[in-house]
Amino acid sequence: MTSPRLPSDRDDDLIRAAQAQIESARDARAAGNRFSAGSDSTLDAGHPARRLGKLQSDSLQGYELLQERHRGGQGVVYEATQRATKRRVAIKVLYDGPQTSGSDRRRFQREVEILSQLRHPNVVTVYDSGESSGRFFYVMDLVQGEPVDRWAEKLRARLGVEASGSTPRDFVRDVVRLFIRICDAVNAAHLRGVIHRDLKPGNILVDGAGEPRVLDFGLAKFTQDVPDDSSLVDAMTQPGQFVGSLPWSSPEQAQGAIAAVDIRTDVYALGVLLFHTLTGRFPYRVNGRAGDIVSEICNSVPRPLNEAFTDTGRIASDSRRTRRGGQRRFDDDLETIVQRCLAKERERRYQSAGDLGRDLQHYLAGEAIEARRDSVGYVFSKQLRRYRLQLAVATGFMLVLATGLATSIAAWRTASEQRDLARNAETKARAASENAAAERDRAQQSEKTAARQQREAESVAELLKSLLMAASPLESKRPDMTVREMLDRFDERLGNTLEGQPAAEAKLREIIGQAYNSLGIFDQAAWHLRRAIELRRDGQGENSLGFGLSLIALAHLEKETANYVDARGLFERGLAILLNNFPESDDRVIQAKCGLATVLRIQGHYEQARELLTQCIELARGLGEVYRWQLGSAIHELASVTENIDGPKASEPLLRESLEIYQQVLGDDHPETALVRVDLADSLRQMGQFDEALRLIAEARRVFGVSYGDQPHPRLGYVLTVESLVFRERRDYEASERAGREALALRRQLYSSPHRDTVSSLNNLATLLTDMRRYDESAALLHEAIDMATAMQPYQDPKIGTMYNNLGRALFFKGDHAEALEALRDALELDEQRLGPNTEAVIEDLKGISFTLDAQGKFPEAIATWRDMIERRIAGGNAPADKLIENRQRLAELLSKHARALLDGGQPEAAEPVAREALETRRATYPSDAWRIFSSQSTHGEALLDLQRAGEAEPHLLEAMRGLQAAKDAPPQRIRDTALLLVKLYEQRGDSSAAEKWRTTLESAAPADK
Amino acid sequence: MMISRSNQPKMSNNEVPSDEDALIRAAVAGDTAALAALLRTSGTRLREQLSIDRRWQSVLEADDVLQVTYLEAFLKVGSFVPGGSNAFYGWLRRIAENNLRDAIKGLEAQKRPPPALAMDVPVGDQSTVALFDLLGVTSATPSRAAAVTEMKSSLDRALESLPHDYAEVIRAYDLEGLPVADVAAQLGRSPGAVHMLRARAHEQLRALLGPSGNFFSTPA
Repeated sequence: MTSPRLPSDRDDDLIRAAQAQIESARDARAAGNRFSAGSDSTLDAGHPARRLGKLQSDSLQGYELLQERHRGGQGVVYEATQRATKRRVAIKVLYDGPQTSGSDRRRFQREVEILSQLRHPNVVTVYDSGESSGRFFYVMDLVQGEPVDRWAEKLRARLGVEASGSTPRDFVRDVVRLFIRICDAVNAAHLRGVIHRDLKPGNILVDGAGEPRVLDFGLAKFTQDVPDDSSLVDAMTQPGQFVGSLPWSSPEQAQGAIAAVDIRTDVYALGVLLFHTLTGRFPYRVNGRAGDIVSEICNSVPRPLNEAFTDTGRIASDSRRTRRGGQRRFDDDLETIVQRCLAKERERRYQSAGDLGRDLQHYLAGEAIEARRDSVGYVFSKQLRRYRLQLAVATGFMLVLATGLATSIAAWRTASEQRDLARNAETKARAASENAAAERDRAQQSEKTAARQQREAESVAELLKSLLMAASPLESKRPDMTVREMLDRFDERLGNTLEGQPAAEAKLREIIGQAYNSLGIFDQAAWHLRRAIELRRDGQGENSLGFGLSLIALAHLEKETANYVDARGLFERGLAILLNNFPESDDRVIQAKCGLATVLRIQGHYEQARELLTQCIELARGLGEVYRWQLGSAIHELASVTENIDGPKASEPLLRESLEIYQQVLGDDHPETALVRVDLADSLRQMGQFDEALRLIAEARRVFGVSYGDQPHPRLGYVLTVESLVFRERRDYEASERAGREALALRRQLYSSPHRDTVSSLNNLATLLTDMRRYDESAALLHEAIDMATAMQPYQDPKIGTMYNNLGRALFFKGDHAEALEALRDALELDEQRLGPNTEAVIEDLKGISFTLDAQGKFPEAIATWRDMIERRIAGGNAPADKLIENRQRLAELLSKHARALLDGGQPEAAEPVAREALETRRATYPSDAWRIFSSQSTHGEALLDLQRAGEAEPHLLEAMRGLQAAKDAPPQRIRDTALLLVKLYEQRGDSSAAEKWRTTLESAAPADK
Repeated sequence: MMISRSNQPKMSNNEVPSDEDALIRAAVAGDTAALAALLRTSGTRLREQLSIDRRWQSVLEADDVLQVTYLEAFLKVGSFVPGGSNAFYGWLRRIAENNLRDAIKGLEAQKRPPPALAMDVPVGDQSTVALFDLLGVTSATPSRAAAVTEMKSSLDRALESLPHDYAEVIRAYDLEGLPVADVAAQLGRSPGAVHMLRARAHEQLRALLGPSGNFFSTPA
């Protein structure tokens, strides 16, 4: 963006241009192109039934018409004032009424009378009705609101449902809540014998407060839309005549079986509305000829909610749509409820709107729904599932709380001890004659502090206890309360309870933050932890122990969310403070060091990580039984580091040791123990011990099966992932793909929003597909993985760079070099940013880039990139000699290729130094008799010869020839090339006998293959 | 006091709040010159605060975002509810951020290997139907099945009443099925701008063609 003009000038231009566009568009509108939001005036043309002249402002007795608000399928709506009461009302004048015979009029009026008695907060009240020039009108509340479909659209946009591609639980909950009220309203009318018959978005308005208002009860039968006497199908075959409500109609309405219309007709329409509100789509196709739509309504099986939602809706035809993996966004119960409404036979639907509303309530509360009441097995499994889920979540959660409780009790104890000390001091001070007053003051002060600390510790303990009670499924009054709700509620309470006790508040926020962190609700966690840090900084200062502890808590969060740079800084700063207060052997110090070690490992500082962990393990061994899990997890972490440095063979004994600890502390059938088994299986996999790996996996799966039942659990996803990798190593691609897809499906089911495990599954499956040469599928999965990982910002997956790298790889193999390069450069940028400039990931990215540039024939860039890679490897301190040699050999190859390209392009001056470097590099990295050295020497000689430096070229070429001929595996072509160069050299020099000698060699060297 | 001078002197943000209030009132009431003056005072700050990720800078410029943002400001100012001194700027900034997000969403989608939908962008009458589908306005107007021509003419009329750039993007991309790069070239704008214009144009169209079931609710 380089422009000589100043931004303000540019803005002036832009604003002027915008203004001009808007004014001309406005002119276009004024020139007879009338549009107003929601108007369907375009449909009115040519429809005789729709012509309704403009009414005079006083044409309806008792009312003053103010303005036309809307023209719809049934009539025109005016805003009006009721003269007697000065009340603002809405008046709907129907286009076509029934034959206005006396009996019709009486019937219409009676209906309105019934409706006017129907007082329900969610029903728009009808006050009055009448007839004007053969047309009926009725008067009702003026509602400011929007149709339910538009409301849902906005809600969806607000919650980011469309953008994230998922359905947040909040959205479903809000929609279901709204529908419970709508059902209640419809039910109220049903109880008075009034059927709506025309439920559709336009008849359900949602006001600013989110309250639905249902309008037009029972009046549909007085309009053309649902004719009493003729078949609807006939009515619709006339071109241009459409029935606005058709897509919402029940099979009995669509078939024109008007006698069959009853309250269950409304249940059906509510089902369509619920489907549409949740998904933005219809349960079946509603485009095409009217006859087709009727047939769809009457015959087709409604599609599942999930299927409708995955449709992006760009193109009408179903077959053309791609479905991204059929992710499940709505659960079985909601699906069942909707499908039950949409049953073709009225007997199989909910028998009233009230029944439907009740079931929605059950659904919202997580209780068994009526729709499946008939199946005892279902009800039982539902109860069981809920119980289990709570147990699983609550266990992990309570662990965090219990730790907090233990800490606060310890603090309470310390506070008591301090108070005792203070009292002793006071007694002593009283006894002492010197400085007694000052001493007493200090002692009193100290006692005050201790008392305050005790009070704070007590309140923390008290609150934690109450939370623990609430967390127990048995104690809680609301068994369906989720842990998150509990936390949120607790969070709310916290604000007032601890006013004036910042230390206690900080402690609690820390615990809540950790709890949110353990649930994976990171933004919430971060908020609490940051608040704790602030409270502690303001109250206790930046060198206080509390401040340090809060920093460490935040560091763990940053680590979880892959902000390693921040995490490291926080760990280091927090540790420094902790070490001022605690000995090295304190469990909190050890835990923080383990956290720091994880960060260092991920950043590639393996040696540092190993040193720290070795220290920690030694200290943890002295901690005693209570902290044995700490020891186990430190050894577990050391195993990961060791695997990175020395490979899986070295990490195996460590994994076995941590497995043993877990077995002792937690038991053989504990999920944690099973988890270490899976890690061990993963190590064994890398060592090629597939059978034992599979055995461990089977064992872990058994334990998970017992622990979690058929309930999807993250650990099942993990074990499937490792299984997939084992099969992949065994080259059993089919089994690998099967397990990989199973893991992916499970994770998609488990996480409705983007999740790093889902991302990881996508990535793994994609790399498998690359191995299987299914590059397109691989690239598509990687794109999805990257999108998902990007959507998780700012808590991005640390592997996002790797995914770009994998994408680059797939594209490279596919032959899309330009795109591959783009992906690899993205990978490089991300890895540099997130992991650091000299890390293994960055080195892999640079390698990929160099390979791609090589494939594109861009040798100088490929070489520069490769050099950069080698330098970084050295700078990163992770350059084993054998790897460096390999890398330099590859550098020599690139240099050779470049020199060759330059020579072929007639640039010997440029080629000569490149060829020389290739030669030198090969001499430094290959055994002295390797043919590649002499091949390079031949190329260097060629460059010299082209530069007319035959004298220098001669010894090179002769030496090259000797070496190539001596080497067993030298390509014959290189011998011929060199012989040809010697012929050329001697011919130029006029030494025909030498030339002849080499020509003979040339001819006998190899069969000419060109 | 109505202000309709088009060459309103430039003001810095924290100057003369009373003038700004008057300008805002006038702008909300439909005075385009007043809004233009307001935009001039906010433009520089908005430009400074707009940050486009380095990865997108070659396909998306600050000018693109601002241009569409200004258009949107003119279109939506009627619904702006005056608040504190920063309310207008905040409102404008949200529009800009929204635009930027849509542009990046589009560009990212474009980077992806196109799934089936990018390959069969329909043309002709089919594309009108597809556009209606895309806008989600079909559900309440099933008559379209019988009368594509009716849809077409209502779409044409709607397009005429859109800002020129919006209409152009819809015609070229959604109706003629041109690739984004071609639309960008045709308009002399960046691909990022095309994505933004399209997102905003769809919003406007949705409002113009909105569901016919809409009752006497949202005042026009």
